[in-house]
Amino acid sequence: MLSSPPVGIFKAVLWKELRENLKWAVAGFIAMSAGLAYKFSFFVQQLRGGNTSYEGYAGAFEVTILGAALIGLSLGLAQTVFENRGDKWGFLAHRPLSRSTLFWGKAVAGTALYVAAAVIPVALALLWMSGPARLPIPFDWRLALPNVADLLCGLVFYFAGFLTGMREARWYASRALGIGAPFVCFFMESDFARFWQAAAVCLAGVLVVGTAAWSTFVAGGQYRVQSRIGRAAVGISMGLGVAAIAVLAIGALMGFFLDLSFPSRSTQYAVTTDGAVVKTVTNNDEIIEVTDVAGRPLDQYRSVPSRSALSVDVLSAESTSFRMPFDNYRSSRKVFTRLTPSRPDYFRGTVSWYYVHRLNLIEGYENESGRLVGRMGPDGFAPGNALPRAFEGPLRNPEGYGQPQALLMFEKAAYRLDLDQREVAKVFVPASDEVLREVSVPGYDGATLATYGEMARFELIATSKRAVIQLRDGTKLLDVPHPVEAKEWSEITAYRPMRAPGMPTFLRYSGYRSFEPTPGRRVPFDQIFRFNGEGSITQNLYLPFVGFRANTGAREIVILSLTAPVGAHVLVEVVARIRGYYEALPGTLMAIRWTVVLFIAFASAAAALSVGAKYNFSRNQLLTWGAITFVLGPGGLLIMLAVLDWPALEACPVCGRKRVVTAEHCEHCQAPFAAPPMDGTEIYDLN
Amino acid sequence: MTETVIETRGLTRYFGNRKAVDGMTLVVPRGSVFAFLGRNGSGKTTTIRMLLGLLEPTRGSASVLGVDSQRLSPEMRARIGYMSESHTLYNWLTVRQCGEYQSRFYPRWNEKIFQAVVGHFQLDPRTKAGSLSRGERAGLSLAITLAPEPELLILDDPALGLDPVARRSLLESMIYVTRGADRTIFFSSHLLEDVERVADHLAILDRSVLRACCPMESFRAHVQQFLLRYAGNTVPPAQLPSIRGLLHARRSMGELRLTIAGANSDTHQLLRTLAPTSIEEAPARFEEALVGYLGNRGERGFFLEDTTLLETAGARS
Repeated sequence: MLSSPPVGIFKAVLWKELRENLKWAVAGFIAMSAGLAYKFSFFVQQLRGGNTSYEGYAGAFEVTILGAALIGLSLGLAQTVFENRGDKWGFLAHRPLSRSTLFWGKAVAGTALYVAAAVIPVALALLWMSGPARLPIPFDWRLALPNVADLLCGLVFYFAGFLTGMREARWYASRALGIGAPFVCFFMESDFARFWQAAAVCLAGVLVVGTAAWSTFVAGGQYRVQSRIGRAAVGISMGLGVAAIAVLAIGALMGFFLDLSFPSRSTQYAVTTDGAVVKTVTNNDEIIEVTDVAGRPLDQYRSVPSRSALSVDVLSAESTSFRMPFDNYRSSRKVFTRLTPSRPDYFRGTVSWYYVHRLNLIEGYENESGRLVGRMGPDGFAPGNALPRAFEGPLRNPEGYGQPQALLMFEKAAYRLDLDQREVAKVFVPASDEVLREVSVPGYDGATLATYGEMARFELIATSKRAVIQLRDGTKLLDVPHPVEAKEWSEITAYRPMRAPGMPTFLRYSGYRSFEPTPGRRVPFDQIFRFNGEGSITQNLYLPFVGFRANTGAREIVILSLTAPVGAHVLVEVVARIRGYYEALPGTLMAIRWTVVLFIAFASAAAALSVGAKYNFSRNQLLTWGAITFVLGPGGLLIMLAVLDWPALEACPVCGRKRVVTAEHCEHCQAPFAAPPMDGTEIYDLN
Repeated sequence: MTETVIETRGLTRYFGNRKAVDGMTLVVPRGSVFAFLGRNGSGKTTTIRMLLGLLEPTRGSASVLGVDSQRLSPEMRARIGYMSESHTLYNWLTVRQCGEYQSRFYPRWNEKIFQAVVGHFQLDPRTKAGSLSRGERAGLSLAITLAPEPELLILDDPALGLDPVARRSLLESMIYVTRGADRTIFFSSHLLEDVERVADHLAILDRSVLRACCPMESFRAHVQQFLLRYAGNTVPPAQLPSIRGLLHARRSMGELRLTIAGANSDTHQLLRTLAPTSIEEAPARFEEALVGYLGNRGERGFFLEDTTLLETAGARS
């Protein structure tokens, strides 16, 4: 007689699962490797041709999430659909081990196969990239973080496949709903800025969907017999599926009824060729209306055909640093800033230059060979692997290098680069009591340069105390303290209408963070100042917000009211109020919105209660599902219909009313189920 | 009272709106070879799956070895051997690997039994399960079911589709291994000859309803055959009165043969009202009795439907 310790049993399950599903993993490995090889070769070719940045072609790794999702889903399904019913289920489950042990055996084997099929090809690709002289980029393992997040997300797909394969439901009804959960996870992980957030979302997904898969497996596919935690996990998984479908449906409805493309009609402020500040309403570039800042029509611009024609030879040095943390884990900018423009029309050399944040140095790589050409520091270029003196601290403007020559900003110095000549020049040093906050150069073409010469190549430099407009030779055109009204600025833009009399300079300060109003500030701060040649303010205009909420129309409100549940409306309201961009709708629209939303919420809850009463729900079940359907609307009703087991209804022979067959007694008259009728042939000798 | 290994109370299972098992109350005594009979789709496999905890009953309950079938612990499952009608195996394993794999799960695995059954079926240990014939698969299936020396053996139509030799081997292995140790065998089958040979108890499922659950002797004693003779070519009455327990009726020229369960003095009285010249009573043959249970009942029988044929035949003669 042999003794089999639990470890031996677990190993046996593990071995069986590995052996049985190896073929799927091999197929996945081949598909993933082929997909990566195809995309990767294209990526390498583009990089070596100097035609792309790493950023722009991170698409090479798009295959990671696609492959991870498909491999995960396939493995999860393969481990369940072939043996979840009938005799095969009996052969699997009727063993002296708990179903939880069986589940863990399957899950560990599935995860191992997933790692082999999906993780190894990506790891090999990254390993190859990390080698010296492979690609013209300063490789850093942090570049692998998006892949790690995507591969983690693939595990959610794996458990979703497991859940889907195991759950008792019809395919054409709700069975595939669980697959929605990893999609939601993916959208969240790819949207988060920090890797830990993305990883946390994926791990939460694994936890929830994995628990649902485990619980469903232990229950043999049924919902009713699961533990409370299991039922909740299944409910959440299905809910995420419903949410994914709802978002797609709302998107489709919106797309059908509304034009959701970036609004061609837009309202913006502009500095005109003759040096006026105006508000324009344009359709694409075509001018529809030009008014002053207060909204009064300005007839003199009526004949101007386009917005670009309104601002001919107005050179602007726009804010490049949005004061946002540039440590989005999906971006290579945390690792390096590409200094060489990636657009071929600007590209002039055979070397790609990067500011490497870890070293505080500029590195140049030969495009064709991927070889490190050398490094540049404040003292200039050093060839090969030599490490010159580093720049003084972190780069403060890691964005906006679209020009062949650009400015580097540090807290205490600004540098101009000439990458072709491999030269670095210090162009500005702030006073000891101030720090640099912005440097920018205008965009110009050859014609502008020919017409206005060095005057077109001005540089905007803003410290914590003042704004400076200077030419490349150091001549200061403007050096003024920031106006008191603009003390808390986030962005600064300089406009120079070259043809305007006296060639004034405009400085526009705004409190916006990117395109959003400043959090907590009800009225966003946006102000423009006109300076004359002596540095005196000759005009000071407050620019009212012309943001995105102004265009919210009745149709959008009606569609959103009809489709989004009351929970979503409340959430949006609360978030909008907290983040400070709440904008009250006009009274009628508000009334329509809440009437429709509440009507749908009550109708959904009433439907849930009615169905619940018909199926003999307990008081707690009625309350729970009533609340869920009230908050989630028809989506909640869908979740209820999707997750619950729906027993047959039969007429009670005593009271004649329909009763559920799962209860021992009729819920209406308490009569027990009668034994099957006897026909006199019965022989019961049970002793 | 005999110790029971399986007991069900009002066990019921629906699939959608279809009732697969209806209010089954069943008792299987320890040490019995219990035949579980019924036509295809009558609910035998569903019942077995509920007994093993593989399916949840819609209502009612079942206990196996004294434990609720839905709460069988791994230790309890080790005491129950189960062989499905499709003889499920992992096709990519060889015969030897099947044994090795299964042995990991069972602390009481008896390699000698495994080898004995495999040898009895003359299985090559190196053959993959996927390459075995149906009979050989049944043999291997039986070997891995018997080797853990289960206290209760549940076999779902084990001989389905087997040739007579394989069937005989299967029965021999089954009985040889289990009878000596006073173990219980609960098996479903369509093969009445096998049932008659090995079973000492039986239960009959008729379209999801349990009609009989008793020892074999009791069954035989309860099911009687009555031969009612009529003079000359007299055709027996076209319409029969409602006879309680009537399983089957066969009418022929000058006689009416009735299979009746649980006949008593009232039955005799009722039969006399049919005015036969004589009534002969004898225990029904086992097969006849079972067919009576499993086929259409009493007056719905084919031979009673078309009485005109008999009358025409009687007139011609």
